[in-house]
Amino acid sequence: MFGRLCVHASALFALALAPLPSFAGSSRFAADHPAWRAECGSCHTAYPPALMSAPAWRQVIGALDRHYGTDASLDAGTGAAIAAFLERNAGVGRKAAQPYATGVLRRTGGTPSLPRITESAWFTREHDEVPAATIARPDVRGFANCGACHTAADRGDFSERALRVPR
Amino acid sequence: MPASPFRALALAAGLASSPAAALAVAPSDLMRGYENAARAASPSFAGFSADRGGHLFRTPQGREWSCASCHGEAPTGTGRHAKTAKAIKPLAPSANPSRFTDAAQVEKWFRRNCGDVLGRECTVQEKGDILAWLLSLR
Repeated sequence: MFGRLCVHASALFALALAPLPSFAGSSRFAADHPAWRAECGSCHTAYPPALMSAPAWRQVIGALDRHYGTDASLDAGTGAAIAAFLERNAGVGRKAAQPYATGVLRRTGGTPSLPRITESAWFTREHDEVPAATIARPDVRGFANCGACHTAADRGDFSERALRVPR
Repeated sequence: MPASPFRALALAAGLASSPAAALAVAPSDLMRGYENAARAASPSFAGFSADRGGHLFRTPQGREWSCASCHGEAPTGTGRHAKTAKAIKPLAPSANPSRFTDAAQVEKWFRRNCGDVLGRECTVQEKGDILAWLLSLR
């Protein structure tokens, strides 16, 4: 009896210590920050910090002047505030996109390759049934446009309930 | 709620670097600033041209994108980002009064977007021409 209790107690203890992914199995993301929302959400959905690991976000923030083909540079204060927010809320689970390893950093037209949420194994698996024709629609244009299907993406809600694939 | 002092602090820190904290100006104030800078830069400065600004806005400058690629040919309406398809609120102040009311935001976007469109920063003359055109739109 005592032995069993010990096992249970230590299992609970281990659970409490384990880093819980901030999405914790849900598809809703609560982390919010006004500068992140304003700056990262101007040209694309403000992607939830939990979808990339902290080292991956560091690569993105470290190359804002060469941001996937455009200049997204920020003043130092705003950049630091957003970096801290991303770091604090970065993903730790299997959903989090990983950084590009330095050894495989490709260069295309002078732009270093950066980690992409869309290239994580989790993302690919979740979206492999989306028809190419849907992605090619002029109102979709690519997987960067979360809100084309995830109608509440701007509120961090990626649940099935808010999912409408355009036809 | 135990988290509220932290949240209040985080909000204050965020707002300090967000557009909301900046002093609001009128587009005409920015225009005057560009005029003064253009005059100081060139004694032959002969004013801004809305026509020249409109042409610059709509025409690719040797690169893939023009300003209109994302803001639309008629920026009194909603634009759409050329790559991500994200909706971009109207740029013309007549359609969106919050535009050109924050000097730091305006300079940030000119710096980035002129880099994407022209491969360099815009001159004061070019910025003034574009703003003159945007202000002429109804």
